[in-house]
Amino acid sequence: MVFYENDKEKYDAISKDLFRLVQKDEEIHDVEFKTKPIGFFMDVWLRFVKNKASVVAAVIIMIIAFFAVFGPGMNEFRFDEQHTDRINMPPKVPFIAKMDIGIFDGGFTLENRKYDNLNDPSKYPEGSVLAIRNPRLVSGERIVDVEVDYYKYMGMEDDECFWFGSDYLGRDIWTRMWRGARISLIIAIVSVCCNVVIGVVYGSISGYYGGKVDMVMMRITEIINAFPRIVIVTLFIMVAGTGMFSIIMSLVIKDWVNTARMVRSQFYRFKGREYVLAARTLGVRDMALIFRHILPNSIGPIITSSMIAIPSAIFAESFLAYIGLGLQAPEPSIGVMLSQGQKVLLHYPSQVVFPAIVISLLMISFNLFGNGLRDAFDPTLRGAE
Amino acid sequence: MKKTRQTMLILLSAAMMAGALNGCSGSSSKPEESIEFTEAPTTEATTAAAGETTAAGETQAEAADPNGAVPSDEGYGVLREASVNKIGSLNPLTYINSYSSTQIKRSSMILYTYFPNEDYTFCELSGELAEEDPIQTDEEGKVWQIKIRDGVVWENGDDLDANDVYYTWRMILDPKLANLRASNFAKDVIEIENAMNYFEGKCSWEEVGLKLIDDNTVEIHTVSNHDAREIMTHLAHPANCIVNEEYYEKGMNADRTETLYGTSKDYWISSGPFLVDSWTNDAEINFVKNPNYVFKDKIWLAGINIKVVEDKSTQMQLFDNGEIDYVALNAETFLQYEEDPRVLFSPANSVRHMTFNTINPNQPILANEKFRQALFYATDRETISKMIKEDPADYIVPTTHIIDLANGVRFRDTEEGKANTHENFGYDPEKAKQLFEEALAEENIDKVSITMIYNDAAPQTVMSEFLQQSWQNVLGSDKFELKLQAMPSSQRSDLMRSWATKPDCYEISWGGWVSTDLMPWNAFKYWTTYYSAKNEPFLSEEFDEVFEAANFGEDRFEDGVRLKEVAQMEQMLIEPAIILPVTESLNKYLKSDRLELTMKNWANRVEWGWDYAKIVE
Repeated sequence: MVFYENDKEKYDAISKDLFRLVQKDEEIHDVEFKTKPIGFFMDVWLRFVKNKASVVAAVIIMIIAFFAVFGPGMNEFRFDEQHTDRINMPPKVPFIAKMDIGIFDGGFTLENRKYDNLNDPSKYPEGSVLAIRNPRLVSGERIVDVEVDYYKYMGMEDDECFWFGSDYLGRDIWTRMWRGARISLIIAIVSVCCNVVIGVVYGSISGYYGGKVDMVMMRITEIINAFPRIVIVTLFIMVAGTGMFSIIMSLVIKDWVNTARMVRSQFYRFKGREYVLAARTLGVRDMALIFRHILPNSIGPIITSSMIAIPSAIFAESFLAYIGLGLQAPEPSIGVMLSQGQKVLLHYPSQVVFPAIVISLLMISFNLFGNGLRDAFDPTLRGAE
Repeated sequence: MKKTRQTMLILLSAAMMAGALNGCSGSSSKPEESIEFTEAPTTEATTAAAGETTAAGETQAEAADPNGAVPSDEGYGVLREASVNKIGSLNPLTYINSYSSTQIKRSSMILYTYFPNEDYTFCELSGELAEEDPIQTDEEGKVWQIKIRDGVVWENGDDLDANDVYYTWRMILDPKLANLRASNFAKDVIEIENAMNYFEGKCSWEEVGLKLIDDNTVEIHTVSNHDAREIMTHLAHPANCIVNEEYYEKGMNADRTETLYGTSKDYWISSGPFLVDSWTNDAEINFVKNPNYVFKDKIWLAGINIKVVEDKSTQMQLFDNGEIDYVALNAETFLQYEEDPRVLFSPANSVRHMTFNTINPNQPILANEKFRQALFYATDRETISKMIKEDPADYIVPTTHIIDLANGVRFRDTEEGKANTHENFGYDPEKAKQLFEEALAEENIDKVSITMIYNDAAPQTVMSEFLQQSWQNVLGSDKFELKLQAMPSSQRSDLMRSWATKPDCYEISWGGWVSTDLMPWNAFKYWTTYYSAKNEPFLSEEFDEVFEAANFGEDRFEDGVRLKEVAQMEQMLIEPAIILPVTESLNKYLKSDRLELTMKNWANRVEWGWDYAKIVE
């Protein structure tokens, strides 16, 4: 197809009247956009809020964070306050108990009780017995399971209650759980922040300079990554004792490697781009190139991977606490509470159920939140929905 | 896809809520009007299996006893146990825990042992492999001959005679094998002439006071004079179970420093009340009754099956399902069964105590007697014992320890024993505070911060965390701080015992020694200067002298001498708070109706006599 023929005479023959100047009386200028301009982060935000699961997850995280901060102060108990005459109390919330819906009412089943003792008010105060179940003869003795209002059974006043029950030293589980959640979150966030700082600096240098520097630095990360975490924790505990420092250090020492690798790959992706070459040609120093020109491109993946690393850190902390390498008593953490609660799971399930729900919610929420961020930061998904 | 995700979320939320509500649910249902009692399901199952039907409340007295009038050679019924411990080795010379020693005793012969007495109310120490009590052959009581019973055989039919005993003794003390139990055999209740010297390579075997007289007689030469009971008690220790020369040598390595004896069925041969029938290391062991056992008429059981089940909750489930015949209860489980008539109590023969590293250079206040006493008086033993369901103890000699065996007098019931106890089990916050202030003044410091190491399991967790707060409350949180450091039991033990080479290895820790409950004077060996595995740096010549006098002194058999010496040793440890007793251990068991105990009560050494029980189904 020919759009223009090389025939000058033919075109000269066209009458000039057929043409007119379009902007003869107007000044030529740019037209203002009718929509508001949005930046990178606003774009991310707009796409993030479209992902409902992630938004719900973010709300749950905020709720848990709120309780982690304010929950321990919501009742009169301190996290380490012991009530040795109130051990292993079941959960009771006064206004729910009044609804008589069978939960949070301080009810508890005392198993294998002598039926003949039920009429003894010194053992079963008036009104404490709610139901008698499973009557049977054991070695000729009349034995029953007795459902009691455990608070009355223990001779406590009606307004005295542990919302989520108490543990083996009579400590309030509500207070300990939220303080534990706070500590778990602190450990996770501090360790992730440290990982990001170390990983970004290390990965940036490795990725930017490449060559022998990269090869040596990456081999070092491989060596570090080869150490089993349990060995690192044990060594730290031997040197520094159990506690938050050892746990954070054990999470930091290994986990920054992933961030470093991710940042390195981003640097390989961007360091050869034209704008970087242009900046270098103009004499921009290496550090400025790294942190001002290349690193901002990696901010999305860094935030995403950090969010996904938080639940891993929480889980790792809980796992360490669960196997007895956690915080020093009396400081609680979700893992410590799960570890203690698991031992009495069959008898006092509430001691493990509440921390388990909190850690499950935290894990799911952070993962959904991280997924949402990943999608929001991913430029290839722009306009995909 | 979106709908599926939403459905999954709803289902997940519902499942979590159900779990949560299950955990906090109490029912609002009301007490029933009329209650009909029927036999418990496990008992019903048992009777059904036996082909009988019984109505509620009806007794089974008229049912024929399947065991017969006397025990048969094969026995009847299998006792089923579950254990958290693994049996690493059945070698009596190297075993490391008391659970292993129980299994060794079940399948090995020993010179003397504790049997239930005739009416099954107490124990009696008598010969198992030995035909009779030791015979004194000198005037002083230092040379004793032991006659070996005729007709005793190994599982393979070979004779078990004095040669086997002599070989066992030689192996216990073998310097190359360096057995863990050698020092105890050389000197404990009695001291065998030159035994320790031979073990340390300082003399020849011929110089050791252990002699083979003939195929049926062995002889022991002791350093001090003894009576027959002391000789028998010493030889009744499970570490003195007889080993088989053929199998012991079969497992021996080339340079004779180690043997595989007792590590698997291939390197084991039985001779005791039961024979090892099958054995899967760390999983299960089955015993069958030994038809050739000398006292087979005391054994009703056809066999014993032991499963290794490390989780206590799983053990409880096995018991509830009728798959094991008894189960140990911990403090939490006990709360569910405290009124159950099947619960059996068994004193554990030791006192839980705290011990101080008084030579720790970082904590010189631990060497201050007033400071330790302050902690003694600041310890609320009654509250602790209520939480962990044990008995409070401000003493060292447990209540089960008998000081006068002839009259069955317990040390704690004597005036001397009572004099060593304190009002309110030693809990006196005001006195504690006063002593603490004095200690601070003496040390010229304002605040103390010490670290306690403890096992990361109940009841030490409960006790340690309780003391962390209660000590601070009594002594003042501005002046006293207790830090806690949990660690596995084995690590804690190793750390404690390294005080001689590493003085700052620990500050405060927990301890508890199991000892011979029929010889309370021997129980103090753990605090003598020469005890090899001491927990704390308590080195007192004065204490050693009293110990020697009580155990080997010329006048120790005289009326009341030992009683005074035991009281004195206890006082020497309690008064300066060398150790800080807290509770007396108490084991609790839940027994099924399938198992009928022949013991009428708990008794020293034989306890509830599981091996002598009957299966009634």
